[in-house]
Amino acid sequence: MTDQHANARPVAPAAARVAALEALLVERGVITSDAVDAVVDVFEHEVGPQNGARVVARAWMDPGYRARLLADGTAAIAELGIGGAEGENMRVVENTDDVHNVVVCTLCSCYPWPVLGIPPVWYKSAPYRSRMVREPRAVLAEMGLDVPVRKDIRVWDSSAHVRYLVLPERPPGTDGLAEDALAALVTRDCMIGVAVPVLAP
Amino acid sequence: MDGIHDMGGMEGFGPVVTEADELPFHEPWEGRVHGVMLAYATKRGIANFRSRIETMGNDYYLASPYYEHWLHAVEDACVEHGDVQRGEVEARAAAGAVTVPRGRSDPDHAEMLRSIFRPFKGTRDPAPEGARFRAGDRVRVVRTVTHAHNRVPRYVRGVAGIVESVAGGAPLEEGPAYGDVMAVYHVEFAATALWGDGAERGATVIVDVYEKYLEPAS
Repeated sequence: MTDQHANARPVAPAAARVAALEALLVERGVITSDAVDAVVDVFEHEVGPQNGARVVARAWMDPGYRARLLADGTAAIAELGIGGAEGENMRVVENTDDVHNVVVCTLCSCYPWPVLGIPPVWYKSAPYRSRMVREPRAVLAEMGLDVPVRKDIRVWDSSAHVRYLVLPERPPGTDGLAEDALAALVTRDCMIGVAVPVLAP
Repeated sequence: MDGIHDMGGMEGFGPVVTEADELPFHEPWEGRVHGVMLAYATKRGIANFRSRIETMGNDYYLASPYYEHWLHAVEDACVEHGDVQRGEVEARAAAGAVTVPRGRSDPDHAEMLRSIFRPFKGTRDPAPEGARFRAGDRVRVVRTVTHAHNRVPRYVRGVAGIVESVAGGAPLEEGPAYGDVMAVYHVEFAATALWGDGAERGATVIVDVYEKYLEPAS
């Protein structure tokens, strides 16, 4: 079976093939294009790292929320109206003075859609998937994050049903900031664990 | 299947290349693949999505972008359901510019697809009764796995680790189908246990391992 598939490698570009597949399925009454449009619209306009940033900012502001978030990510994230497909079983892992967390999926591309949206290409790429479990400190340094030697690095390989969100440390000098200003400091990369939030100068 | 998709620990792929201000979909066709996948999956069901990707062939997998893997899997499922014939998509694509008919709509399906991105679960899925291991238990990953799809990376097989906690329960995705709900564990592996003396200091890898793939370790 494997060899048959390998031999059936298509020639037409993927863009033309997906148009052909969508056309065939629409013509045969299996799906409609407005359903496909809805999915594209959700990922382009509704779900994305802005959702995860709200979760992180709330956790920084509210110790009770932070405790609930670490105990049951799914339930606490749902408190903010966020959740759904690929976020059904959320584990939130907290960076501390001693520990830095980072997330990878070595087998495929598991990623928490409701809080982070579509994974970036590098997250799905062979270099990241192969190297992060083997030389995390080196990879993080290459990506611009020098993790202090005093910190242990914990790499979470999401190989089953759980999806991960890194809760970064709140940067110093942000005591007076409101929740939405805090959320603006939290990037996608901070919540994957390949960056940390910084207060813009 | 021990295919190229199981990349943990491999060398030779080069540096991680990032991109500033990356959009969710780089080109419209990528979004169409994602949308067709979910639209089709919620109409007909797409069993074995990952397994279908893994059987596309190692060389094709490496030579094609991520969403082409998805396209391969969706097309494969459509063929299996009988909604398209093998080779039909390729022939249609090769015949010239394709126009997707825009006349039909299905507002209920579109709304259902939007709704799956809203919270529908109150809490994480618990482990089933009688989970075999507990936090702190020392376990070893088995070496024997199916030739069909499995969820246990090669780099942890035969390696001992510690159960950090019970990760809950999930149907085991293995072989040609999903099985019963099984306990899943967050298992911690010291970097030195995985990579030997040359491992980075102070690194731990936590892998989510289904109970079936674990045995007690002394």
